[in-house]
Amino acid sequence: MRGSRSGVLPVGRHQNAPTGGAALGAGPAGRTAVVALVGNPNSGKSTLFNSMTGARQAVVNAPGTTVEVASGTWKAAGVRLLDLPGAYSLLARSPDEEVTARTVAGEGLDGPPDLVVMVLDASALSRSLYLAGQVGLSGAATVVAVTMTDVARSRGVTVDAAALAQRLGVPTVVVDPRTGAGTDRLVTVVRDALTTPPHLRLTAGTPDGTSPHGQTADQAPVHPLTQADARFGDVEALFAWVAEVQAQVASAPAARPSRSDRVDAWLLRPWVGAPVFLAVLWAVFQLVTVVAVPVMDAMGWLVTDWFGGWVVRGLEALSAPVWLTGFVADGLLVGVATVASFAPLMVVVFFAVGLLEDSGYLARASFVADRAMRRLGLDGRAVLPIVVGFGCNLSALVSLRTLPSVRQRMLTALLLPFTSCTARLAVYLMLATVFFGDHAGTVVLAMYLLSALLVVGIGLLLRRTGFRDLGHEPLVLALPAYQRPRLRGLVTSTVTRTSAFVTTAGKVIVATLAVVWLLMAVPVTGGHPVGDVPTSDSLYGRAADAVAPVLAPAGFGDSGAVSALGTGIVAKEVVVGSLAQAYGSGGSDSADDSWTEGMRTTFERTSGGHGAVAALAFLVFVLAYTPCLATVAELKRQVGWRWTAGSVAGSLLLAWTLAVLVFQVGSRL
Amino acid sequence: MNLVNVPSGHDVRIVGLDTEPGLALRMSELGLRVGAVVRVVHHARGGGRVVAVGTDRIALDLAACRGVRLVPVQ
Repeated sequence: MRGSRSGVLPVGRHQNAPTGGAALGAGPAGRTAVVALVGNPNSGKSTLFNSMTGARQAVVNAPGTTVEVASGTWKAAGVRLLDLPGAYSLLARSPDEEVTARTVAGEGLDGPPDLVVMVLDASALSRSLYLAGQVGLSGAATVVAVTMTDVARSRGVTVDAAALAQRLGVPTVVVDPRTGAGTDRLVTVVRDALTTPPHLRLTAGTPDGTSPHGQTADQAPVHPLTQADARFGDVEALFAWVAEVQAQVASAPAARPSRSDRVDAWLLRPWVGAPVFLAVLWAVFQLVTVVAVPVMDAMGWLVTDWFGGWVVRGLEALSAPVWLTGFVADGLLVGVATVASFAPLMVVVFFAVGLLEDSGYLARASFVADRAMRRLGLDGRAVLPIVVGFGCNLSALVSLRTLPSVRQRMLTALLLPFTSCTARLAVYLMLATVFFGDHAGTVVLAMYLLSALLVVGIGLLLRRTGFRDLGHEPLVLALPAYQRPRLRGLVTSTVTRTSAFVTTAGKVIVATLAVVWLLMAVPVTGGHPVGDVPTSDSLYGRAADAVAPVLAPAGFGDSGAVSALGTGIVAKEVVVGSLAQAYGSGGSDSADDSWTEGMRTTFERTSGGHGAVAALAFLVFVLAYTPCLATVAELKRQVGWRWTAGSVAGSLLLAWTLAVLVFQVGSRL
Repeated sequence: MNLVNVPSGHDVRIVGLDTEPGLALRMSELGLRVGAVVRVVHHARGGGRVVAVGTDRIALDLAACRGVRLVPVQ
């Protein structure tokens, strides 16, 4: 068989590399040596990375892409370690695999890696060896780490590591990344390999180095795997090599069902699998709403009220100007509090998703949900983020990392802002109660139905426009064995990913909130001092006045409503408070019901007597436009500025269109 | 005969992959290649199947199952 697609198989990139001379732990020109972990998805590669680097790691995007590559310091080996995206082949079928292929080819973050640690999954030896063969063809210096031997053993297979080492011609170490067993030996092997780079031997022969014909492998390769084979995608030779190596180093699997088979016999049954799947989704949803929210509130209180109180008292004791106190307390600290309050949520989501992933259940959940998700043009693995999105859009975005393809991640990321999060629910409930009384429940239900329709409709639209390349490929998915997740690895991964969120998305949030404070602090009328201005007299209020006519066709062209929608870009939680501030009689307490009458009167006025329809249009706008600043910041981190700007502009346009449509049609009925 | 027609627990040999070349190559890379003997281990909802390829387990949806031509292993 010949690969006919435009895959990337870099060949011979390192064939002429010197075979020695590098200083211990150092790459060319004295820089720290770079070691890349390469392996199939779910091969234990990332667990090994976490075990080797501990907390000394960071997640970065591969050059020119939004594909994440984890990079860390492997202190024991004195090298920088890269955890490349899991790949089945260097003939890439996704941007993630392309990043791995390019990095192996020397076109990655730091040029050619000095060494590849090829992670061979003993429970899926055939496909692991296939990838190893491609890495060998690339010419990269390689050592082998064999993982999942316990899973292989449970399926009746033993892998002879000594025979494998001899057959491949490179140092081979059996490791258990979950317990750390074998990692000391791996350190020694890597350090030695940096001094004398080993290369995979890709010739046929017996484990003792002789071919079936009695010649040494080097003299008479039965299946010579040439660069030309790889360049033209002739994979048959590689398959034959894999079959030979596997036959020589591994025993045949037992015919009896494995433990995972016995569990799957239940979990993949339609009448068991679906309820279990729904129960798991419900549990995750509860985690991101019921469990995380009190912790988030506590963090917000800790930063703004407790710590902020100290800071304000300190500034006042120093006779600091009002604007400075206001900027620190209401600008910077509110931004920091927002980031701090989201951090526990991120911890909960990353931990829960990691748990599902490490246990092996997530792959089954994707298989169970695949049929339904495909009708929406999405991958089965998108079901978890979509459901989580109805709790919190930000949590949903960060859980997207479980999708194996960056294009699928992008498509789902663009749909997630239309899932109606619980923060919007507070707005729905308040306005629906005020304007629709006993029918409030029906209105709220309608908002959720509209949310689902938007996700489906926009998903189908995007699949026919910017994401036509995704196609409708049948599902072929490798199922990892069920395993007991290890706490240490989960915690390390959770901390790293939460740190990445805080340091990247956090900066955007703090900076934007400081700008919002500035707009609200600068007076344009009324002779107020900077930092002590009613919203209506501030630059922000003036901007709201200017924008209000744009929303007149939707029936709520009033600066108070616009001002509330503006603050809603920061967080939907503040929309009700902003409405109370705008329509209250001086106070800003949303518990004081007098503001609702003010809002009702204003909406009746701006809508020409169709206040309820205008309120419905307002709710539709709240549903469809940008969910919150944190989501925008995370979206930018995942898909880049161009797509984020498009998403924000598109959602605003859609929100306006739908709101106008609802009002114009509704007011005529 | 394709994967849809095979009862659980039966061994079959792949004799052809009737799907677009890119996907056929990926299936081969995952071990579902012509000549390989696989065992159907689970029937899932909507016509999906899980097959054992050695110690590995691969899940396929209905469309993918239809593209795997097989003969029984005697």
